[in-house]
Amino acid sequence: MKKGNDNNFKTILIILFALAILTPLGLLTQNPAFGEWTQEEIKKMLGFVPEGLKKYAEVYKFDLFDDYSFKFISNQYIGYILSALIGIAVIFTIFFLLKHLMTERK
Amino acid sequence: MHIPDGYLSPQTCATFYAASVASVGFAFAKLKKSVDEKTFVHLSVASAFTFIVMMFNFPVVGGSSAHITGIPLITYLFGSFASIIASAVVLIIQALLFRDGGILALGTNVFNMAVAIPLTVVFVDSILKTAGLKNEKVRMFISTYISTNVAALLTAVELGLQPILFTKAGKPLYFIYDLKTTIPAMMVPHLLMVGVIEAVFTVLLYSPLKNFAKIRN
Repeated sequence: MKKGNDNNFKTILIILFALAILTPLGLLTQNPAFGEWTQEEIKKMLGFVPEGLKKYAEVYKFDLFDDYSFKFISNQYIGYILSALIGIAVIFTIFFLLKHLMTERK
Repeated sequence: MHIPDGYLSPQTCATFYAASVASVGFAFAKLKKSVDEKTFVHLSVASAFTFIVMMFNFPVVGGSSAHITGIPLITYLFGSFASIIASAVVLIIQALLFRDGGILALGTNVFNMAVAIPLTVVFVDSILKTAGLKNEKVRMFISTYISTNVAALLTAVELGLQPILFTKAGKPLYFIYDLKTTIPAMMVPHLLMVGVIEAVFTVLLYSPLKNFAKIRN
């Protein structure tokens, strides 16, 4: 039983890894998502950037992996795949820590 | 569907932060009662899966792009409480690490996707079941389709209310288009394409992934 579960988990990890490699397919469309424009794009559309929008748009400044790219990697496809892998790693770490936090308290 | 910062008034952000914190807290408390080793395996797999699925953007009618979320599928596989937690974690990571969706808007984005989608799926599915619809796959298709459109409608209404409620000297302070624009712009692609794709995705992947999820207590 236990062994079966482990194999199952391995299969899932392989699927996730394969999907991560395929994520650049998601970059093929150049269309921006509705309501996710940058300030420059809004300025082009309207001729001005609303006051409140300008005030709050940049409150969060961490941009190392801005928009699933890497500042120091110019190839956007590689940046996208690395972002996918980093995201997965962070997610597994969060739930691993959560598990230990919650089981220790018991 | 990931609203950036600056698009919503602080009042809107605060309201939805409160709603999201309450909902996610409730889901967490519920999940905690039945927690075991497998719970965390399921949560991390569901979360990672949702995160990856959302990276596949595709073009939609009207010249914009969209992506499915995978949230209805993980709701069917792991239940609504696990699904709320797993997708909330995804949205937090997307905002903090990749600036996909704002920090002030995070509460709103969590509410629209991580809270509203699982709850709609469970709600619609149970109504259909009560109404006597026995075919599980048909129920899955309908619930998923509706949940995707509920999330899109919430986003459209929240954005579209901004220029109606918050202006200064006749100019919008935050988001620029009102409901007349946001509702068709969000709903046409979701009703015609995204909802259908998400529904097909849920129905097709449920059976092959069910065995993995079944290991749950």
